[in-house]
Order: sequence, then C-alpha cells, then structure tokens
Amino acid sequence: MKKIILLVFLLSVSKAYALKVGDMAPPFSVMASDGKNHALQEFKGQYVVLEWHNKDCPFVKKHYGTGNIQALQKKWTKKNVAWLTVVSSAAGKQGYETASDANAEMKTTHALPTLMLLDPNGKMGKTYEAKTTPHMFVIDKAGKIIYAGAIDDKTTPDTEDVKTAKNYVDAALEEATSGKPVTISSTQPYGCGIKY
Amino acid sequence: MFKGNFGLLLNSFFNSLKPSKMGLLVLNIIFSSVLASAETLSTKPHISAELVTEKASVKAGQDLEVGIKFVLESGWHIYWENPGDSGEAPRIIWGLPFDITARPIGWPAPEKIIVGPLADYGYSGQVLLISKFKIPEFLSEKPFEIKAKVKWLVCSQVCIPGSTDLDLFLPVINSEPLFTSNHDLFEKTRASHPLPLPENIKINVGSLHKSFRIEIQGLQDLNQAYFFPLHPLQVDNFADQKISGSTLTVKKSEQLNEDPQILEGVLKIGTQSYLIKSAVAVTEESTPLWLEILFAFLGGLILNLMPCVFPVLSMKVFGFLKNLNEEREKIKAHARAYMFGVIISFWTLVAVLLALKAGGQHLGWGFQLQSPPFVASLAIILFLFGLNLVGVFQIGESLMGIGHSLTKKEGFGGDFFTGVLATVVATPCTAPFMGSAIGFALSQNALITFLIFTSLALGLSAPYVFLAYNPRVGKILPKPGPWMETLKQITAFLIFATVIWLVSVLSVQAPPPYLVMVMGSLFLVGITAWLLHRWPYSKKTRILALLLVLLALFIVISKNENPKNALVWEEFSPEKISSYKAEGKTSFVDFTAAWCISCKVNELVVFSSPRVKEELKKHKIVLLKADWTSQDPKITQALAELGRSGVPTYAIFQPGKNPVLLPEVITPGIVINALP
Repeated sequence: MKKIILLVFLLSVSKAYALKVGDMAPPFSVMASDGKNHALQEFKGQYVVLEWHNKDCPFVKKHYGTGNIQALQKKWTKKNVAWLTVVSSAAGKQGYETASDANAEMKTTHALPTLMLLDPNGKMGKTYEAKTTPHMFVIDKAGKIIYAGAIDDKTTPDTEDVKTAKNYVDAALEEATSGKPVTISSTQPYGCGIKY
Repeated sequence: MFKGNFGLLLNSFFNSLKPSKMGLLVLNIIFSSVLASAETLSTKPHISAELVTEKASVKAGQDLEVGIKFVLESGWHIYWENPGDSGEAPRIIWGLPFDITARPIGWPAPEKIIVGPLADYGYSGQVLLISKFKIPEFLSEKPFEIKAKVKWLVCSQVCIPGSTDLDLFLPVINSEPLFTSNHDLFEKTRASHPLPLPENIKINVGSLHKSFRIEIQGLQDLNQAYFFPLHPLQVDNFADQKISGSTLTVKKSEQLNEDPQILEGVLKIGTQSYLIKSAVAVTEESTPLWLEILFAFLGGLILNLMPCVFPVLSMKVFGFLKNLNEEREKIKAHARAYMFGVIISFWTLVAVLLALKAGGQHLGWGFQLQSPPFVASLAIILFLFGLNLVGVFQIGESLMGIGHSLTKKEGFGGDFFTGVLATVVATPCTAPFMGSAIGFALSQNALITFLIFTSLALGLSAPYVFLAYNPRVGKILPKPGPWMETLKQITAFLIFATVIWLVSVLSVQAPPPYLVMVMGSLFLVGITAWLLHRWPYSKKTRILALLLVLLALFIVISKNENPKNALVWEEFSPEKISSYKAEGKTSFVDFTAAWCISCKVNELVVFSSPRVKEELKKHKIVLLKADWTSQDPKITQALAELGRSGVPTYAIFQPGKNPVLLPEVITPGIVINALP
C-alpha cells in the first residue's frame, strides 16, 4: 500500500519537475559490452558518471583524441566511481556499436570506463533526456543526480580548447567526494545530437 | 608580395586618372577578378565559405560591410547564434588593420531543424553572415587587408567541424565605392535580419507553470509564428508552439529552474522577424489558485485516512469519545490547540524547505526523508508508538499521555504536540490531490507556498476540529467499547509496516553498518517497552525508559558518519597489489566477510579510531578490502599464498618487501606499529 502511495507521490512530484539535477536518477537496465545486463541498482553506494558517447562525433573525438576522457576515467574509477559510457545511437546511424565494436574501441582508445552500455533502442537515453554526445551526468552515492550537462565550458570541437577548458564533471566529483555541495550543477550540454 | 604590389600599382594608376564611368566599370571588373585570386573562397565537403564585400573599395570614414557567405549542400545545415539542442554556431575571427574592430555578426532569422527527438536552429542552402566595420577618418593608401578565420560545424545526420583562413585586399579610394556583384545578396540578407519591434507592436511575456505566454498586440494574424530563444536552457526547442488568438504559448525547458527576468530572442511571423527582449511577468496559473488551495485542503483531509496519520487521529477521536461529557468550550479549545500544532509544524517544515532552497539546495517535498538520521529517528519513534498501541505498555491511562491531557488538566500542550506528531508521521505518507498541490506550491513564491500548506494543515486537522465543534456527531459514532482496543492493535501493525518501510528506505540510503545500528536502536526501544510493561508504576522506570529512548535516538543521529572522515576502501585484486607495488605504494589488505564476527569487531575497534585513520592517510596507504562473504577463488588463493586459510587476515604489502601479516585480533596500536 505504502509503495503504491509512494509511487503515486513520486510520479506526481516528478511530473512537476521532469528530470533535473536533484532528482533521483531513473533506474535503467541495459546490456553492456561484457554481454551482461546491468542496472543502476548495482552501483548503489558508489558515485556514478554517465557519459553519452558517439565515437564518430567530432566533439567526442576532441575529448578522446586528446586523452581527456580517458584520464578522467582512470582518475575516478581508481576512486571507486563507476564510469558508464553509454552509446544510444540506433542501428545504421552514426556511432552505433555492437559489443565487439565497443570492446575493440576501448582497446584502441585506451578507454577505462567501468562499463560500456549499449542502448541502441535509445530507451536509456530518452529516460535521461540525453541530447548530445557528450552529455554527462554525475549521480551521488544515494542515487541523486548532482550534475547534468556539458563536460566542460568550451563548446567547440577544437582540440586546443580541451587544455584551457574548465571540466565540470571533474569539479563536481571533487566537490562531492570532499563533502561539499556541487557549485555548478546544471549546464547546457554541447556536442552532436544523439542519433536515436 | 605580388598581390600587394599589383594592388598598389592599380591603386595609384586609378587615382591618377580622371576616370570615366565606363572606365570605372571596366576597372571594377578587373579588380573583382584580381581580388578573387586572394584566398577568399574555401570549398570543403558539403560546404563552402567565401569572404565577400558589398563594395569594391574602402573609403576613409565610411562604414564597410563585409561578410562570410556559406553555401551548403542540400540536406546540410549550419547553426544560429543559439544552436538549439545540439550543434555549434559558426565563429568568425576578423583580422583588420589599424585595430579596427568589427561589429557583432548580424544573424538572419533561423529555421528550426528537427533531427530525431532534438531540435536545432540554423540555416540551410545559403546564408551570409555580415559584419560591419567602422573605418577611421584617415587611412593610408596601402590596400586594406581583411583577414577572417572562420570556424563552423556543418551537419546533416552527422556533423563535420571545419575551419579556414580567408583574406581579401580592398583598394583605398577617395571616391564613392562601387558595389560588387554581391550587393544584392547583402541587401536581401539585411532584409532578413530581425528588426527591432516597431512602435505599433507591443509584446507581453508572462510565465505560467510550464510555459511562457507571449502576447502580441498590433499584428493582424500570427500565422506560422515561432519564437527562437537567444539563450539555451530556457525554452523547450523541440516542442511545438501553440497559437491562439494573439497569444503564442512557448513551452519552457525541462531544465529551467527559475524563470529568467528577461526573455530574449527572435519572434518570426511569416517572413518577418523581430528582436524580442521582454521582462517576464508571473501571471495567473491556468489552474486558479483557489482550486489548488482546495486540492490541498482535500489532500489534508484524505491524509487522515492514510496508515501513517490514522493512528494519531483515531487516538484523538477515542479520547474525544471518552470525554463527550466535558465542557463544550474545553473540547473546542483542545481541538484548536491540536490544529495549531499541525499548522505550526507545517509552517516550520515549509520554512526550512524554502530556506534550504534559497541556499541553493535542490529540494522537493519529502526532503527530510532524504536524511538518514531523520528516517531512523522517525522509525524509532514510530516503533515505540506501535508497541504502545499493540498493548505492550501504557503510560498513564491512555496513549503516551498525549490524549491524557484531555481528561486531566488544562494542558493544551499535549494537544499541540499531538498536532506536531500528526504532521511528522504524515510526511512519509501522501494522499490524492496532495501531490499536485504541493508541486504547484513549491513552484510559486513563498506566500503562495505558505498559503497552500496552511490549507493542507487545515485539511489534516479538520476531522478532529469538526468533531469537537459538533459533539452531536460524536453521539452518532459507536460508543466506546472493546472495538477500540482491536482497532488500536490493528493500527499498531500498520505502524510496524511503516517502520519496516522506513528501514527499507534506509537500506538504500545508508551503508549496512548504519542499518545495523538502527536495528540496534530499535532493539533498545523494545527493551524500553518491556521495562515499562514490567514496572509500569515506578517513576524510576519512566526515567530509565526516557533515557533509553534518547540513547537510541542519539545513536542513529550521531553515528551517521561524515563522509569526509570515512576511509576509502577499494576492492581487492591481486593485480592491484602488484600495480600499487610497482607505483611505490604500500597497500593494506583487510580480508573479511560479512558473517565473520571477529572481523567486524576488529573493524569497528580499529578503523573508526581517528589515530589509525590519520596514520593511514599520512603514510598514503592504499586500503583494499577482500570480501570473502561469498565464494571467491582469487581471494582464497591470495590467502593461501599468505599461509592463511580463513578470515580475519590482515596483510601489508610494501614494495620490495615480503608481505607482513598482522595477528587475527588487532588493535589500533598493532596496526599503527606495523605501518612502514
């Protein structure tokens, strides 16, 4: 009875706010490139980073080509943050990857995500209202979204801009893991549109 | 530089002649072809960018209009100033002599481009981006060089960034410059620039719950009107914009937290477009305020039936029924005290919520339930309450002495606190109508928020107040009897269910050790209840009981460990050991299991000690936990290699040394001494 009431409550409140920073991250259950299904529930108690990805998008290439995202992945997975790279490109569209494509890509780019989630039917992307690649979300240990938006503040596809950009994801994780509130929690994401 | 010299030559030749009009034309044609040999055009896949001028020469003191003309392959587009959901606006970095600066680009009104569930704003086919330069009064005779570094993103289904460097030389001539062949394009483009609002057109922008309402006065019809926002994160780009009469309804972006003070953008109506910059006024909701207040009242009313609140209400009603003979005025006074208790509690909750929101926290109703100490405390209080209801113990004659004040003394304090209790236990529950009323309330200003919550509080306290003012109705209710006991006990089990639910909430919010502590506190509550049951009349028992409850609450509130001080444990793996050794780091491995009691005792004693934490952090020891709760051959093997076969086992791996094993029972001293 209580669960139903709680559900109704959550639904009614969630309708008023849509998906924003401060909301509980919506659950998902998606196949990963390791062949297994993974759910958000699995990472309860950890910080989670969601990175929407399209390997052929110039904005994504800017961050992978300079090793920017790989460095972030390494730094934070070492601190027990679950970094989940999500590919929501539909079959036949740019950026679509099968499990073997994803595993091969990780080898060539030396990417170190905890998992690469394959979402070709776009369900997870649409649940999170992900719009661009890259589009970043940071979820805290209690499952609340504490950052959503762009990866950094230079919205260009130019590789030179990576060095001078302020990285919002890194900042959010630094602040959250030292117990401080996230100062910049919501920004306009930039990048290529996700090819649903 | 060949170009330069040639230009100079032609320049001086031009100036020395007294040219006829025909001659001018001929020379103009020559110029155009000569100038075209500078890098003015760059052709890339799907797009070409050309540096073009409107006039063929520069005259000192006269403004010059220059632009970049993009020609796009069919199906490809570039972006507007605000690209929309994705993409990137083109950028032009001008290089001009004499530090002349260019005025900002004039952006023609864009089109809306839909790709999947996303909407972008941009241009297709051909577009000219014009920039105006203010030319100083005195110019040297050197040819005027215009450089442009152009960057863009051109997209169809996929996106391709591009950039190019273009440049152009214009002669500096005293007489009136002639137009180039691009003149028409410049004229057409200027005509497509959004105009400032003319005098006869007035715009009013109002903010509704989920959309902006743009009222346009002074136009005949709003056929095909669309508002292109200048700033991101304000408008939902994908949604359609509805036109009704002279009003355009523009859906707000889901990411919009607070209304902007000014709404800026381009309003396109048919082929005309206007620059809009208007203050945003908060307007009347489509659901009128009085209706939301009514909903809140109804919600509060229905809330009385919810399992959280029902026991508290039934308690008040029982008390009431038993005392129907009391003075009418007294009964009413008690009811009023209860009502104030409810109202003040709601006001306090809302005040805290608004204060936190103002401080920048993103909170919604129910925020108090996001704090584990609060949930734990609520569980403890409710458990005690439930034990009372089910009959384990009594305080005085009735329940927890709260309804007691009704019969005995003037004490309205009891009623007030029952009101507070009712509010507190109501928070995990919610009722129909409540959700929408609360959502509405929290999106409005503070005054409206308080109004709605007051209405909710009135609804919650209404049934009891109603009864108090209409005791005759009380006579209709069944007479007090054994049924009250049974009902009490049934509600007790509902309360226990609520406690279980609260603990399940904690299981998501807090780590297992905290849960164990909460259950320990509940255990203390059980003991308290038994004490009160066994020695009900002893004052000493009451004092002891109170202390125990306070202890239980203290445990859950203070033991909520501050993450700042918590140690970070990584998952163990043999590879990590070798890699950390290679990096020169020392690792401390705790082989443990959830069912291993001595492990848990060790961990509790040693790893909560501030000295140990400090030493570990000082020596930058990496902490690895090998959880052997379930079968794990890797861990079994690691243990075997250390010469052990079970848990607990503690090992320190230092680079260049053999692993050091600690004894099975450890103390902070042992651990600190063993560190390098």
